[in-house]
Amino acid sequence: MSSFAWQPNEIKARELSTTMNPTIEAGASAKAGSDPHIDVGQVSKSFRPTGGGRGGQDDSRAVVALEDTSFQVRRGEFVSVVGPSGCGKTTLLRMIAGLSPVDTGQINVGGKRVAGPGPDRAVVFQHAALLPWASVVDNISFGLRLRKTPKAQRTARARDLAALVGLAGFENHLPGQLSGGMQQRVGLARALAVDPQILLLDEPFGALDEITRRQMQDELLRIWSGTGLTSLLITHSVDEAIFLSDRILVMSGRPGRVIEEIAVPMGRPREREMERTPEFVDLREHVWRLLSSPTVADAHD
Amino acid sequence: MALGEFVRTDVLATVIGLLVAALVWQVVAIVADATWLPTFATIVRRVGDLLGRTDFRSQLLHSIASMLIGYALAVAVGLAVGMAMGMSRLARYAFSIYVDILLFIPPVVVTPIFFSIFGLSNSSVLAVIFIFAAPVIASTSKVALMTVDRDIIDAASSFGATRWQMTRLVVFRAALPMIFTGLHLGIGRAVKGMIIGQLIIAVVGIGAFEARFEQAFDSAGLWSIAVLVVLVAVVFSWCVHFADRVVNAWAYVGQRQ
Repeated sequence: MSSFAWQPNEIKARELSTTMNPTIEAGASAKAGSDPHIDVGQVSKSFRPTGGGRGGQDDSRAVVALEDTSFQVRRGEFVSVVGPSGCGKTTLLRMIAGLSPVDTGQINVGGKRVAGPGPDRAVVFQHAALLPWASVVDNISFGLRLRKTPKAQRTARARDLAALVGLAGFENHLPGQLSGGMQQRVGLARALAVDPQILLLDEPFGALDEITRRQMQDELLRIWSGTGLTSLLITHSVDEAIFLSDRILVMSGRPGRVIEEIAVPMGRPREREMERTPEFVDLREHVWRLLSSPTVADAHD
Repeated sequence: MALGEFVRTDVLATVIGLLVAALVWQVVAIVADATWLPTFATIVRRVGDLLGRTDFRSQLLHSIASMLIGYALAVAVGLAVGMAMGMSRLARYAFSIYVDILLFIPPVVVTPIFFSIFGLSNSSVLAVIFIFAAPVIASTSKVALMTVDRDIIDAASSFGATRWQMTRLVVFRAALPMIFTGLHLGIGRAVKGMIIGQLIIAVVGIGAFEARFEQAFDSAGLWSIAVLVVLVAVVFSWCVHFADRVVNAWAYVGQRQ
């Protein structure tokens, strides 16, 4: 794996120094601390087709999803993971969330080894994963309910968060009565409701149309900038990764591993105009070149 | 100005459908002029006569009570077995074979076994109703639990849901619409079980009346029993459907009536 501090041709002398420590200096998040909040160390993961009645597993047909994957995410940092389909991005996120065990290697969160889900982490899922029978408020407060927070308290928090994500007036609607973008807002509010330290976002805007997607990116940035949460975003969108992140991890095709870390040289707050800057355009080209290279694009076939 | 503003068009369409069927029956019966097919008007009069008789009313209520008791047992056992199969691989291996056998074997084959065990009694009828309804409820409940959206299970897991919380607040709740499909199928099979059981023992309930009318070649009586059975089935089917609409209102949001 190589570390890459993206350097446009016009880069200033001061910014050149960031190549020595790209993720802290060039990663423009002023909030990012120096201690690794998420530490993924040489993690590998295979999927074996389950056998029949004896519950046996067939090792010869095992699919290696991830191999020797290592990276760190600093406290308060916003990191995106991009890579071809099937490279194990979601598997990686699920293991950090504690929803899936690692085969080898280890994942530490806040210095403690991940052994399962924990109150320090919350996940925003690709398809919102809302309870279809529960209202917006009940969905947002679901995590709090599981943690036995008193009803009045959790409802009040859910209403506040509904307003924060722009769903005031929709508190009693069911998910089926909401658009895809609104459902994702509920998913985001549900994750924020439990007051996590880490936000894990699994392609949360992947199923949305382009206009809604950009609106949601702006909303996420607005909300995230006020929370200081360590965030890890899985995405297929290079533009989304650049626009939102302090740092981008590019993964190879299957078996997935991080082949390059790229510090995003743009400061915060991010503005849409930044997408037209030479820095943004060149960085997009660089990431696309990586994703199109034979080692990345073909390895999973 | 739309018709739907004044009446429920779904109810109106059902009523019109029933009236058309009654009219067709009446016309066909008059044209055919066959002893085996009384006119609809004759049947309506005969049903009225039967419902006016104390002994018939008592047997009809007895039949409905049997059906409800057998159905309640089938729901309790079917749900328990189905949920166990849906949530535990071992339970699935243990029970699937029996549920499948009972689903596919003609109940008429097992019915005599109950008569040999319980004799010509109401217990035999209850057993027949149970064996008609329970397998379909168990089988549907199993599938309902096995097909709960993986995403919402993951979401609940990510918040640290315990096994009990997961079962009660997520899995069972998500499975309810399909479980109700099983309950709906089950009530239909319970009505069938009631009639078959009572026809075979021919000493209790409206099955006894049906057997008597059959022996007397009383086609109007037979048709009257058939119409009443259909009415009972429709009423209870509607009750289950109504409960489904109340319990699973969310599943019908945005659906056309």
